[in-house]
Amino acid sequence: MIFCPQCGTSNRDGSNFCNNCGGRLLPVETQPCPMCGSPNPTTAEQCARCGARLKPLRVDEAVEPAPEVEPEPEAEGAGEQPAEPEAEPAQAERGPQSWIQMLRQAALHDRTQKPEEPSAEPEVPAEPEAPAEPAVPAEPAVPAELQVPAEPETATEPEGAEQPEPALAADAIGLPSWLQQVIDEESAARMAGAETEPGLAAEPPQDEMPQWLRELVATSEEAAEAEPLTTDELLASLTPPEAEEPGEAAALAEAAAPAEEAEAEEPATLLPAEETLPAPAEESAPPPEAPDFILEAAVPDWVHGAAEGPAIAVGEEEGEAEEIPDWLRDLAAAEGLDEPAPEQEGLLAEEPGEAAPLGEPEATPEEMEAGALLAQGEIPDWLRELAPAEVIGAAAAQEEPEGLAEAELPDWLQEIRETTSDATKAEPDKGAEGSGILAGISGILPVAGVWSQPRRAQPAAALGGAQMGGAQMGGALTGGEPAAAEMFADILAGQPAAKLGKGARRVAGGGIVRTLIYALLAAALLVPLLFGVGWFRDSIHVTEPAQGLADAVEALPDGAAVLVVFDYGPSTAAELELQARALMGHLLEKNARLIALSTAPEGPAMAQTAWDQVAKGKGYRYGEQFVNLGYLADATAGLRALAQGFDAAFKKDFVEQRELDDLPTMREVAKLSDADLAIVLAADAGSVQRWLEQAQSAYPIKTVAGVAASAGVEAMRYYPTHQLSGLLIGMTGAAEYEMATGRTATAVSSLAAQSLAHLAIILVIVLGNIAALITRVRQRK
Amino acid sequence: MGNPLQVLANWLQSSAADAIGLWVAAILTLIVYSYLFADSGLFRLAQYLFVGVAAGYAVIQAWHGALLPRIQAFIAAPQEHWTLIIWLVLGLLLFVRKVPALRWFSKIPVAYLIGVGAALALGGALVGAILPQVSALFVSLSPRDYGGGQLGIERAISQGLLAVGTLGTLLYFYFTSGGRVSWSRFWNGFARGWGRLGKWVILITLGALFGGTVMSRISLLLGRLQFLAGDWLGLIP
Repeated sequence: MIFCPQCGTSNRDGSNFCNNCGGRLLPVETQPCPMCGSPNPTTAEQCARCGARLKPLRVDEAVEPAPEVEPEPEAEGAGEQPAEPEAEPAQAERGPQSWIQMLRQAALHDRTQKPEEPSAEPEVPAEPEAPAEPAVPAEPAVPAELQVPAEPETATEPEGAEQPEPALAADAIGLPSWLQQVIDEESAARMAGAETEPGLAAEPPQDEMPQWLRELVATSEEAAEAEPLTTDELLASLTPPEAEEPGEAAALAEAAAPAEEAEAEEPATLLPAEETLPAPAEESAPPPEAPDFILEAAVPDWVHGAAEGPAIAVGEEEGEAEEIPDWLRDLAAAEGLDEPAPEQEGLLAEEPGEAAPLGEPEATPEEMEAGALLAQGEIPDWLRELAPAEVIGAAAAQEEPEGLAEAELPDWLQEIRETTSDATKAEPDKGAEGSGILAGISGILPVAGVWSQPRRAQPAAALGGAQMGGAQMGGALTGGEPAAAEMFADILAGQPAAKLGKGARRVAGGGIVRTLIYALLAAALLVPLLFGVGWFRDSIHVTEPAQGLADAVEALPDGAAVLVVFDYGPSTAAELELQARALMGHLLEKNARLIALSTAPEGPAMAQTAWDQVAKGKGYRYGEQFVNLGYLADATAGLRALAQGFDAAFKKDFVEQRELDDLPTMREVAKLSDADLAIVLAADAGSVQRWLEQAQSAYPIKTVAGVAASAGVEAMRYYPTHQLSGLLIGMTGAAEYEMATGRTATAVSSLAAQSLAHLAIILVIVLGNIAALITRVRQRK
Repeated sequence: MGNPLQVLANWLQSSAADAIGLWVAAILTLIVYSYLFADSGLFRLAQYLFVGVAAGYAVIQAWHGALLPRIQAFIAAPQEHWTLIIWLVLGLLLFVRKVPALRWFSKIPVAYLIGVGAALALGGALVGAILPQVSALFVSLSPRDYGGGQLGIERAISQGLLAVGTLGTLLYFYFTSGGRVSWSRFWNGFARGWGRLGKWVILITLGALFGGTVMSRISLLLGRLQFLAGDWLGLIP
């Protein structure tokens, strides 16, 4: 079933256009959400269901224009600090804040003009984490669900970096009063909205912050510090160990700098783009000891879990085989890797460089200790609440290694494993996963690379594997990794099924079963028509409304004028034409004069068809026993006009275009009340209601009706109120009328065919439910 | 040779035209049912053809049934039918919406249409639907009023169920609950309990509507099969 992206109407599989609105239903124009799998238009920025971002946050260099002036030496030093790659996209996402950019450029200009003036440095308050105007919130590398109110990027700033606070800078550059007022108002608004909008990092002054908020700020600040770590983790996980650069180690260690250093630094977002470039490793001395709480909060456990155990890798690199969890060894044993091949050992040895956010090929003992602490860190409650379910699930799975049994992997993944394992044996250079639950599967992107930024996986895949690297993932992908990344993104998006051929799709879609159902239904409908239904007549029970209609016709005087309203079209002609034929035949036998009209454009043709069928071979003449007045425009007002007089609604008849006075059928029938009976044959109950409300209520006339089966329930309400003297519902009503008048014709045989079709449908429903039940029982077994 | 249009009209009345029309209708029916197996361009062609023919037929009906007779009457006797000019002007004012300078004048016929339509609908609904339906709810539960005997009892029960179901359906949409006063709490609880019964009446009604729709669709299929097997192939006697 395909749902129309424009009107939501369900359409059959394989449809190209919507049956309701005609919109295109091409599935290629939609993209599944990477978080929930819901289809979204390719032009959508966010998922319509869960709000996940569907396109990457990419900002060109032009968004953060580099200052035209040459930065001073201090600024260059600051520019060597590790950059916050996501800070610019975050700013771009929240809209340009021109006044901040203006302040930044003004401050740079001021510093450039007065490089020797150190006056701004003493003015830096003692607690720079509480600036008067918070900087643009940095976007952490953790998933967006885990984002907390970001802090000024002080963690990556050296102590010597000089940057005035926004408010101070505004004073220093002499902003106009109106701009200063705008800045103050916006600062107040941001501080007021900080609690309700965590994404907007409005940081209140330090002296006004409660203790819990201070802790939250410190934690989020450390999370912001961890961004380059996570980004580099992605880089490391996507880049072979031999391609890694030693600078990552410095960036990693620097990211774990103590918070005390960070507090003395200034918001990095107020620095020009050059000042936020990664620092060379030799200029950023790693701290001798990383505080435990920083490391625990900066890199949650689920990141390690996504990396399939960075602590294992650390231990492996140090030759501490006892640090490899038992579950991984069990898994390796199950895969026949008790004695890891050199290639597998290489994979294990490469894991620190691939996935560990703290890891690097040449990790120091302190960093090794930090990595171990990271592995033991716990996710804070608030972070656990914000984390996506799959991430928490991954972390929980790491805590319970026995839950990672290979047998619990989905079937489609197992199929990939079997297929690719064989291929790996034939071509070992492709490289298969050597450990973890994906062991033996080649071409799979390391899990940590995508899980650490789940909202970026799908857009990168949509843009192509080549674009998944670079600014997206914090590093360039090499070799076949773009394709692997795209494949894994597709797996996450829930599209693992292989493409089937046209014939296979038809079989898989139940084409044979569907054809059998069609054949069964056609046989049930045709057999009674072809072979007679004498046995069926006795089962027809004439209901009271049908009998009432027959009685009303029988009570008509000889030569009575009967108004017949044909308010139906070809879509319901199969039912109502049977009623019309039965009624008209009976009326003509009673020598009644039939005056046909319609408030539906198709009605006159339906009336003429019914007349041709009834009068064929009977000697009835048009204009004497029957006249077709045609289409009455504007049903509501038209019926009112008809109630006043036929000549007010019709000038000539529909077929012969003769004046109404010239037609023998219309003699002594000038207005509605002159008719003896009104018969409304309508496809829907609205026509009956309209007739009763506009015509019968104004000029009482005995009225009966015949409606389609779909309108029977609604029209039935007018029978107990005696507004309708008789009522026929669908094909059943036509057969009942034939039985009531003793003139059995095609309606009875048609009803027999319809009843057999109903039985066939019931049979199909029962068999389908039995088959589904059997299938479910087999699956449980 | 004569008038070409007259020749065409005469040919359309001939049996050859009927035979061609029969085959065209049969082929189009088969094309439409091909959608049961796969969507195709032919199906779309038949669909668009149907939409176009229906729209064209409606226009022709409006012209011949509503406009042309009145135009002819006005031309034949202008003094007698001079009021038609007013309605013609009002109708033409509907088209000035596309002219920004005259757009305001299009509100006149729209207001007239809405006013007349609302008045007719409200008046008709009150007299033709609301009052009769409400009065039908005041039913007698005495079997004697229905002739007595078993039939009278059955009808009395039927009328009682009708009244209970109707009120329950209305009370299902009564959303107030609780209350400070005891009788208020009792009434609200009573209404909610009765409303639960009304919910089942609604469900039964919806089931009946669905069943009726299925019957209509099967009837439509039967009509097409009768056409193919009877009118086209001549298999049905």
